[in-house]
Amino acid sequence: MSQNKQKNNSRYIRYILLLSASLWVLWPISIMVEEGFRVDIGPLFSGRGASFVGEFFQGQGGIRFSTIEYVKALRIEAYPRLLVNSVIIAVSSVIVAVLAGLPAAFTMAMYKFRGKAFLTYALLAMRTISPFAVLLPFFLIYGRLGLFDTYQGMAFVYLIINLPIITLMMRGFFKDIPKEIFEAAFMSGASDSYILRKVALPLALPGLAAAAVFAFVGTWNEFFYALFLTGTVTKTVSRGVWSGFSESIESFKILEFDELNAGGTLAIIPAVILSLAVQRYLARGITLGAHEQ
Amino acid sequence: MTNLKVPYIFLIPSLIIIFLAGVGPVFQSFLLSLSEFSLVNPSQTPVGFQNYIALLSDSIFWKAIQVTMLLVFGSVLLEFVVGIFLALLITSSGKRARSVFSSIFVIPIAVAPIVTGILWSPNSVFDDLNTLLYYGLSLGTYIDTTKPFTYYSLIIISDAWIWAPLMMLVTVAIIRSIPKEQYEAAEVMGASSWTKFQKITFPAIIVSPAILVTLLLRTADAFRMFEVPYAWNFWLGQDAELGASVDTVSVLMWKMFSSTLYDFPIAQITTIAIVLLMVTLTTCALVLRRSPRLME
Repeated sequence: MSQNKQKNNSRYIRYILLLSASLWVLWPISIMVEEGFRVDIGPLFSGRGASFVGEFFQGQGGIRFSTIEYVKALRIEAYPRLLVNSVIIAVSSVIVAVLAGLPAAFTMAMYKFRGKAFLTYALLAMRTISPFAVLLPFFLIYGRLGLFDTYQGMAFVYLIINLPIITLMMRGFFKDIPKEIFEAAFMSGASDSYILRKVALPLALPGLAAAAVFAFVGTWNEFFYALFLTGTVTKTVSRGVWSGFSESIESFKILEFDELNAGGTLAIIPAVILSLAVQRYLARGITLGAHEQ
Repeated sequence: MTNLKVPYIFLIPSLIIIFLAGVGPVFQSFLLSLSEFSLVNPSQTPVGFQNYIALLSDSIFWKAIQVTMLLVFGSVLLEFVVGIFLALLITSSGKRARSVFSSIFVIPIAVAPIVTGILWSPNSVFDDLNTLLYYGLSLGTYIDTTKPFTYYSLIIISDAWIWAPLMMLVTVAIIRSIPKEQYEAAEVMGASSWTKFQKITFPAIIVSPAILVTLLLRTADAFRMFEVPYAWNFWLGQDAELGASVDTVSVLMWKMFSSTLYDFPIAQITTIAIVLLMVTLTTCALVLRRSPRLME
């Protein structure tokens, strides 16, 4: 009897801990969402509306639920343009990364060759590099070639992140396919490109989808290169969320906190949905296949 | 399959991109760091390693290094601890709770780092929390986000908020791979849950190459930490001050580049970038050594 009770107790404790951990994860996000709806429950606790605590004004307070910030962002202001820019840049960059990275991943998974360790190292370093180590040359060269603030230019810059993700992740997925399948294909005299297209790719298709989604979300969320290399034409969501969006993409305006939160909420919705869709592969994506699950 | 002909042609597109987007610009950065060059005065004169020598005696740079080290150490450690805690919660739950809660826990990984800078800003979370503490509970105290200890902790917490779930995912996989017999044997001997964690689970986590590789990659990533400290620069009103208290190395470079006060000192910025690159390259070499899966 007492053992049963103890078991029940530990179950309750576990649920309390799980719920508090969820609160830690969801609380900051929920505040962003509610502020976007102009709901601010905090100052209600004070019972006196607007209040100062410390040096920061704690807002008007009150539940004046309104979708106005979201409507404004999507209808009046240039926010949809930012979304379109992010999608164009991320999709084209991921497509190029897949076209270039797939054959390389296949070769690295199937063959031993000199310089393979160096290639792996170069890709890993490219993913981890401080953007400042490449930014200034990009800045100077893009200025000269007229690639500054263009879709092609931005898609190319993001290959720095996307090529390593696609190549190293796909290499892992190709390696996971049983060797016997390939041996049979090689014995029958099929060419490498035939085996890649007709044998390896169909078997690794879920992996490819995960890698592509992963690279897309990474580009969507990227702030640093966007801050320096985008301008009035190609400004992306993650930059706009911070540095402001207005009636047209050319004009600049400092955002109110409510607008900032509405923009932030809209920006994380697609990223969160896509990431949850591939959550099985998340650890593998971030550690670039160094982690096997 | 070593006897077959390697299709080198398959590597060419990737190699071109690696050289144009990675190796080439890095090499040019290195050349820039060996010269006297700025956008205002674009005559490039070679000065050897003078910029590096000057950097070593630059107190602002050392301060940025200290701030960065503090944040790297703090956030990687906190991620590790919180990640293990979350993993233990997940693995000890039933099947349905496990899938629901692990989906909730991984959400922060998908949130853009710059949005995280907004999420944990003084006017978001601490708006509500402070009014609750000050007025709601009438404690008369509040969390003062302008105090150094508080904002360093908050930057560390924000970073851990994003990345603890990654540690959780890796740790869950490690815990699952521990043979069940070990726990059964421990139970027969009457071991408590804490003893089981101390003697079986924790050692298994520590010796796993997966956790080491993840910790190394997180360290390399944290060294270039930019978005959250950058946002805090604005929350604290320090965005015009070089060597301010939340200037990580990346934020310092951003300030040198974006302010008109310093004549756009390209050579000095690339010097710092190359020093930071050395840290990255070393860490990546360690990652490869420790990860047989990437090397084979």
